[in-house]
Amino acid sequence: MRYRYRNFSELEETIFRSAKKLFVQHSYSSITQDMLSQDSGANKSAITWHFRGKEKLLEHFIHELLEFRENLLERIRKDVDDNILSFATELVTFHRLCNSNAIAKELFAVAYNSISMLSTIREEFIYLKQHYWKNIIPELDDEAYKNKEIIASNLELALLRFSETPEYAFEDRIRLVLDTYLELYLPDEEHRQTVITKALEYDYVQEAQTMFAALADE
Amino acid sequence: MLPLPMNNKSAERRKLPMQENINKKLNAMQPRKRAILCTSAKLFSQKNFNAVSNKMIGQENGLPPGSVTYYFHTKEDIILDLYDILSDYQNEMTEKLYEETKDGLLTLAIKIAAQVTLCEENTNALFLYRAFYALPAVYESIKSTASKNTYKLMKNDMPDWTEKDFKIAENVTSSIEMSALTSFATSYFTLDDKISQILHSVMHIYKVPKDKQAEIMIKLKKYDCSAIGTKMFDRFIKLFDGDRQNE
Repeated sequence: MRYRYRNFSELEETIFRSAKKLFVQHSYSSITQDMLSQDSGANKSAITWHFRGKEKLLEHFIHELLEFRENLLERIRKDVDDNILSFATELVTFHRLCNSNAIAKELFAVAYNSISMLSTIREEFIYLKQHYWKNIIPELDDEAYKNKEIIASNLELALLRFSETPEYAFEDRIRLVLDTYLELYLPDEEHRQTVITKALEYDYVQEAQTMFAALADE
Repeated sequence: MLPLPMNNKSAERRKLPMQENINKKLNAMQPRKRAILCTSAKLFSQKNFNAVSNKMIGQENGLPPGSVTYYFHTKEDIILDLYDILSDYQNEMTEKLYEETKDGLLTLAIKIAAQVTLCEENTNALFLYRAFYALPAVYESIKSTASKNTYKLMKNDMPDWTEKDFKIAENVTSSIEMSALTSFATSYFTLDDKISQILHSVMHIYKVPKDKQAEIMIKLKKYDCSAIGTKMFDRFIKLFDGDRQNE
């Protein structure tokens, strides 16, 4: 993990550990300070003193969430050779997970909606893309990745905010978003369409589900 | 002090668009509710959205403490009502632009470019728009009104798209528009780059061919988006000035 500089005291560590558990097992809006204090055994005012509230705790937790996405990507890269395809598959898998898991969806939607957490997420993805895609797309420089990430990260928010109804199917939506997302980096129509078709075929949702649940007792 | 109901004479004199319609909407509200809404619009244009408190709005109106909370539970409820009026106003503006340009896609491009430019130059507008896009309830209404609006603009150019298709596309395009509000332009990534990148993605969703995209970008350069955006925002705020004039 590249960005985690944590210098927690023992008490802070306890609070953070139970916060992690709550974030993964309960929906974000339903978490209260009472629950936190009950689970960790810390005083409510101690929680306020050290973290102010759940927003601050989520700001720490976002690094773990990003690590989860990176691990998911690594897992997919074991089976899939192509760097761009594995990235697209990770995107599809992650959003399918969020579509079936309301807790994850809300948690990530909150993170993507907050400006400070969004910039952390962007940094992470800019780094990953610069690292993995350099050889495949040589015409993009580092600056271009930064600029394109502004739109790319918000496209993910579009999916996180969308709830499935019988009339508006999730699979149609993810196709449209994936197409727009990849178009930023791959203007070549043919290449893009093969990547999209292949990415939608892979199914790692079950594994992603277990990985997400495992975040609680890390 | 309670403001008098708005009077249409002053509206005619200033000839603001939509004034009558909006007066109708405002006059249907309870007087105090209307006064609070008008003051908050004014305050949001002068101060950062996050810095305006319910208490401030009440003090500005000379209302007893707690009355703002009585009429609107939170600032979010005020925003919802404000957006209701802004969307009416924006519809009117785009129709006017359409008469001028006679090109649905170009009108859409100007609208987006003007909004991005306005938010880049005016921090208060930026925070207000960010609040619009960040709140789930307002976001839903942005999506539904904008998709109807876009459908009206583009249905001649794209006859094979149904209203449902536009709704699906709007889900994604509204997020792209929102992305402009999350970071400032820099000297490496200028406002023009930002606008062209956003418009490129939006037009890609509407499946506009590459040569048509370039054509639109050239046409867009003839319009002063900064002036259009600023004028739109100033006029929007002025719509709420009605009862101040009568006092």
